[in-house]
Amino acid sequence: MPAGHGTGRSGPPRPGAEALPVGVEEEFFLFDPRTGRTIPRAAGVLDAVRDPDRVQREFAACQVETASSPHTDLGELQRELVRLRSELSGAARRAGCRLTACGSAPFENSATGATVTDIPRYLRIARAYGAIARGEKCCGCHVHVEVPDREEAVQVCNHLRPWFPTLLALTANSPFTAGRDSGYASWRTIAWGRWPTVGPPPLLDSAADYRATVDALVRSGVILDEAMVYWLARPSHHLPTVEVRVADVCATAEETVAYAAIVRALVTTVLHDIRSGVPAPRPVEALLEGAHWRAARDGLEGQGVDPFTGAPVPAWRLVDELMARIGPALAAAGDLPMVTERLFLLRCLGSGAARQRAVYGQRSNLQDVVAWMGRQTAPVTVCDLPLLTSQGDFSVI
Amino acid sequence: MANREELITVGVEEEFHIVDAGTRRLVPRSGVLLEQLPADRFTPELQRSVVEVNSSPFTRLDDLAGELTGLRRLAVRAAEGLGLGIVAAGSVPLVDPELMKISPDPRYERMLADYQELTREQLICGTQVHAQIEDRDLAVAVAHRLAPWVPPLLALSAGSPYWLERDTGYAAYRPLVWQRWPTAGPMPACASAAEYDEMIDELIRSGTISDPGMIYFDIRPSAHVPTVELRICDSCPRVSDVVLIAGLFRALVARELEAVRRGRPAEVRPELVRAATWRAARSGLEGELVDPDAGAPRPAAEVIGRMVDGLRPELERSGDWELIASLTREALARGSSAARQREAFARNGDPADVVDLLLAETRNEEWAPVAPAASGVTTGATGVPGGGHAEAA
Repeated sequence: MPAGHGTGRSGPPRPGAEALPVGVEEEFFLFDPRTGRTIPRAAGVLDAVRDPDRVQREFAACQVETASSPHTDLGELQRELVRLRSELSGAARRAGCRLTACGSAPFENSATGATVTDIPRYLRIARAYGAIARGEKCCGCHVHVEVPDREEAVQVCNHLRPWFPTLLALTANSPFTAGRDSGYASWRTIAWGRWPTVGPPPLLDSAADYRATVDALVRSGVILDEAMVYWLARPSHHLPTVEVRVADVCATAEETVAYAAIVRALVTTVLHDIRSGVPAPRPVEALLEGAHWRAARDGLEGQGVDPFTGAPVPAWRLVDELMARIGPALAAAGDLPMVTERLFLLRCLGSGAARQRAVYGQRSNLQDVVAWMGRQTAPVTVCDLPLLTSQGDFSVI
Repeated sequence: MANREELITVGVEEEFHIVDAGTRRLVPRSGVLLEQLPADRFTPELQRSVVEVNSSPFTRLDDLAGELTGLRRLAVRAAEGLGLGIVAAGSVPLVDPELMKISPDPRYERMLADYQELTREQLICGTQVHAQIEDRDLAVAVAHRLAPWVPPLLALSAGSPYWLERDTGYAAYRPLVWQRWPTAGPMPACASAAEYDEMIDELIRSGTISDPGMIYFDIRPSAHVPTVELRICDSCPRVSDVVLIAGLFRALVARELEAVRRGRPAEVRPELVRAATWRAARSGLEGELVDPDAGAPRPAAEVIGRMVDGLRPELERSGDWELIASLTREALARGSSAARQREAFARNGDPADVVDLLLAETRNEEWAPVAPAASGVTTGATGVPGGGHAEAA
């Protein structure tokens, strides 16, 4: 917890007081602890949740999602995320499965079927999208930052575009698919790319242009509704926010919070630019996509592409540039020490993807990876312990 | 009809799957097959389960059809001598990805190292049509401006419903496999050939691609010949579909060249083209396509009929109108390859039947019935297509 996030009423003004509210949606897999495969048990897990307010079903019955409340104090966001993960994790154990934060299911591929959640909209999507809906499931993390003015929200998306690859590299957490290493740090990004509206948002002139573009997509019959605009960032269709949808779900709640802080600071920074009349950057489109592909390929551990110069540079250098750009906003929000410390840990321990690979490297056993990811997802509580040992999937607690 | 010299020439690259004649499964045997085939026409592809053949450029579609048929015959005969079969289709149903191998070539080895799972899963075949444009600035402009016509051309070729032994629900799943590569999709607008080349240089410098051959836009200026190249289409089992697509692409190129020369503006919205391309991959000829003009979903036959009728002036100028109108009606009546593959599967629930159908269609040497087509395609054509028109060998 960074200093300055205390709740005392006296003392200096809280640095976080004027920060933009931020909320987080996290998607998780439910795995069968015996096989490491996904298991369609969302209904049972949600029945076992004691406080169901902020958890919901997802498209596939092997997934669940949490949605936090909006917070200006990210310490509070972290407490909520940890609580949600713990509750869901406990409910999953009671339902005989494991809640797991990873972007792809290691044993499954594009031909693997999935049980679709029995909700009319999801069933319609399953019918309309065939194999891309049924196959490869993906878990992402969506960060909402409050930007109530729709014109500003559209401009924020324009300004965010060059930073998507760096945000992706920071959160890459899905190297395994089809029972093997895909060669990508974020295979989710590649698999998810098969949907018709995935990718960087187009540069849009105005809220009216956004409306017209979304209407054209809906009119074409290609997407069923506005919620199916899956651009990497978009003005939310149901909240007064900009929604950033780049990230794989992060392995730990701490990483999610650091990522949310970075996204908020970036939105704050570009809002300042917009209000100062700075036009949206216009990187070469093909390079922007190339940079995004490279980020999915290498994550934090390899190369990235500077979207402006096209130069290959170490991914961490892009992170450093991002930090230089948003440092003042992070400091003003009181998040700088927390983010700096967690980036340092990422640098030492490796990205989510690198850690998965390290576990795999020990015994070349993907089941180890699945079990280990489950352990990172939520802290184990005392009441879970008997279940743990009886299931026998943890050698060490 | 225009002078022969004024016509845009068209050439075709076809990719074929190699299957075992007994098991009907995909096999990495291009090495041994290519030893039996003329090296100036047949080349290896990234995966050893694929061979590629290149036609010459032609002004007459009839000549193109004749050469494609002859080249296919060569490949089929060589394959049969080896206990193999040749399949022209976007994908084949029976595949063991673990047994596949990439061709022994440093470029392909580097692609495996760089692109990993994408390279391993590149078990798909396409048809590329080249239309000649000498002026590279024009080629760059036209390649971008033609993007809205990619979806109906894809729909005509749709023949990859099966992927890793399952029905994907798509008429053409190959484009979904393909679009995962970093430079796939509609080509961005570039003001000139110089700007386009600069973009390629930047992509190479950035490490996104390793050479200009890895620009995989749906339509692109060719990297090695003075043409624009249509790359979106599945490999087609029937030569008549290849000829149809080649004829339509040439007409589209001719019309767009004229539009550029007249300074007519064009606004291409890549996000909408992507969406319409997805729709075409899903529907093929059997469902709805997004109408390129209205932006609304319409039955595929209607969208394609209107496209063909709209190209009538260019098709008449090249002397192709009757042939193309007739081939279009036939293609629409026959349905997509994907639909025929599903029918074959439905008979006994056996994917080997799908492979047998594709083998037979690929082997078929009667390519094009030519029927009189006085009226348009959408306006209720008369003239039932006549008998088979034997290829001109």
